[in-house]
Amino acid sequence: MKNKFKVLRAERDWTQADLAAALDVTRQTINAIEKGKFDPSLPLAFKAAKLFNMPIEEIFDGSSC
Amino acid sequence: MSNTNIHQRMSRSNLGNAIWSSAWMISLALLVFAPKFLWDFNLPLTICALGLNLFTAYKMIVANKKLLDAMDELQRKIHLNAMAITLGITVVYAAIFGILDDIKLLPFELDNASILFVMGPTYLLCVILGTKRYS
Repeated sequence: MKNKFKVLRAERDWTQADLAAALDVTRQTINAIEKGKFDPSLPLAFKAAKLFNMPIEEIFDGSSC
Repeated sequence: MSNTNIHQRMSRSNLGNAIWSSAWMISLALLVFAPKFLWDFNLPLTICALGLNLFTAYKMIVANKKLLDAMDELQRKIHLNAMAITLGITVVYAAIFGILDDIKLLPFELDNASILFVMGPTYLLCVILGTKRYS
């Protein structure tokens, strides 16, 4: 699934480690999500939406599923 | 929700897992060698050693479960995939290893403990490949 993690992170000038710490996951998980290799669970997606203060559908592109 | 971050939880869980795995290994060695070399097959002491081994085995299993719970969802996925593959390979190995010498494919009889030497490397390899896949 495509997502805007990398763009949203860059806009806030956060490193992958910063985002990982904010979402309480490892940096490897953030890297895998950004590369589209791993789709996060619904709770993690909601957590990210809350962190970025955006609706989930604006962060994740469900059309590629 | 826990107040600690994932790295703290993982470190604590790894430590617990290492301690109880070591304790289980030591208690297993005690159960295997002590009855013969330390107390001349004294039944009450052997039963105590068996009880100690079962207790440490239980704690090791619980520690392993806690380690899995402490992981984030990607790590958990990698480890669950590795467990699934290891279980499958172990079942296949267990099904055929007993008959290999019977059907003259092996010139010697395989020991039951050899299954551990299939499970360990398989699990390790699967975790390494899974980690590489998502990096």
